[in-house]
Amino acid sequence: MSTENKDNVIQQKLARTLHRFESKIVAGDYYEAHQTLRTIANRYVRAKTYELAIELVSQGSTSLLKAKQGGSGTDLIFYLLEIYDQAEVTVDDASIGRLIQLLVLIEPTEPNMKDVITGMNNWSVKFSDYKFGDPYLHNVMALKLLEGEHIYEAERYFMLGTHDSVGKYIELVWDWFVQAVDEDIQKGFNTPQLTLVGSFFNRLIFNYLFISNIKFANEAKEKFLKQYVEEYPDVKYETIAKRIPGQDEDFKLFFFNDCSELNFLQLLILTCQTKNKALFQSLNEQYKELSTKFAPQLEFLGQEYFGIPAQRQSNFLQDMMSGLLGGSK
Amino acid sequence: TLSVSEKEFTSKFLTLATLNEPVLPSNYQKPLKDVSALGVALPALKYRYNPKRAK
Repeated sequence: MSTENKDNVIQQKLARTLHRFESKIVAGDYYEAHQTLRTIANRYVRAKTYELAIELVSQGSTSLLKAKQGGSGTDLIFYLLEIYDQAEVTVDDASIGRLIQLLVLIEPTEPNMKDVITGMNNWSVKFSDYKFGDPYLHNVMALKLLEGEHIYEAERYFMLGTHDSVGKYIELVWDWFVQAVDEDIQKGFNTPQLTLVGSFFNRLIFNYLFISNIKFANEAKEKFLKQYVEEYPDVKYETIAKRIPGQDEDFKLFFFNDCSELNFLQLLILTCQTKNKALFQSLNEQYKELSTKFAPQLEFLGQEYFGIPAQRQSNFLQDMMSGLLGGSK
Repeated sequence: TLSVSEKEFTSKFLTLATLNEPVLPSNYQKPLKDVSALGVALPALKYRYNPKRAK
């Protein structure tokens, strides 16, 4: 039998299996459908015909998720990831695309959702050059986590996502801020936006500066603050534009009379761009209260951009070891 | 010593910070493949976020 014929026979077999599987799903025999599919997929895996196993398991999972069988559906996703791992499937459009399609079908209330996401991300860490996982996958994961109200996890994946994620991250922080302002107004506070805005805005700026994404930090600054002054017309501010040598666009600073934190954070972006240690120290000196409040964040940035060694609490064991080894530290 | 007003400081600071071309351009992005540390975890906010209430 020629290879082509053999392939045809296999494809027909696979189609028949899937067909039988679908009829069981339609009949509501979810348990049996799930078990049968797993047994057949096992056979493919043992024969190392991974492509067929992947096809079968991902289609099976799709049908179960569409039939709102979250438990069995996500079980098959875990199985798919096992096969990916065993077959050493690398991250590419097809392998990522398959996971994204499944991810989209999971109900945000599915108890397994966070574990599925972790499993997918671990695979993308292992089989790509991204130490924290694939950015396209992150973008979809973040949206899903947000729907499921896992806000801080969503934030982390947005931060490590694509350009599409920046807009969504800014939107999340903005909506969150507006909700907080409303909450405080209901409690009877006056102009809570002035005291709250910094604690929301700083998340965007710090997170992007941490991963040296100056472009996204600037974008977040621009969009968020523009929206702030537009939607809260009582906020007093003036804009100062400054030409930066060698750059196409001016540095635009929104100077706020009633919120030093916003001023400080904007200046911080520019300071990181210069990598000038003296400027960084002068900024911290001027804003003493804020530099105390943000000590851990600024210590990290000090290390990352200005070569200032972190003053970690001394590690007894490490000190002893370096002493024994004749280290000078 | 008299402390400099924030406005005055900002103006001087901006002048100093824009004397030379910055080491990192305004559109600089370290490729995510080269990112090996995520910084420090930011403290949780005391306000809940409700995705259903978002526009």
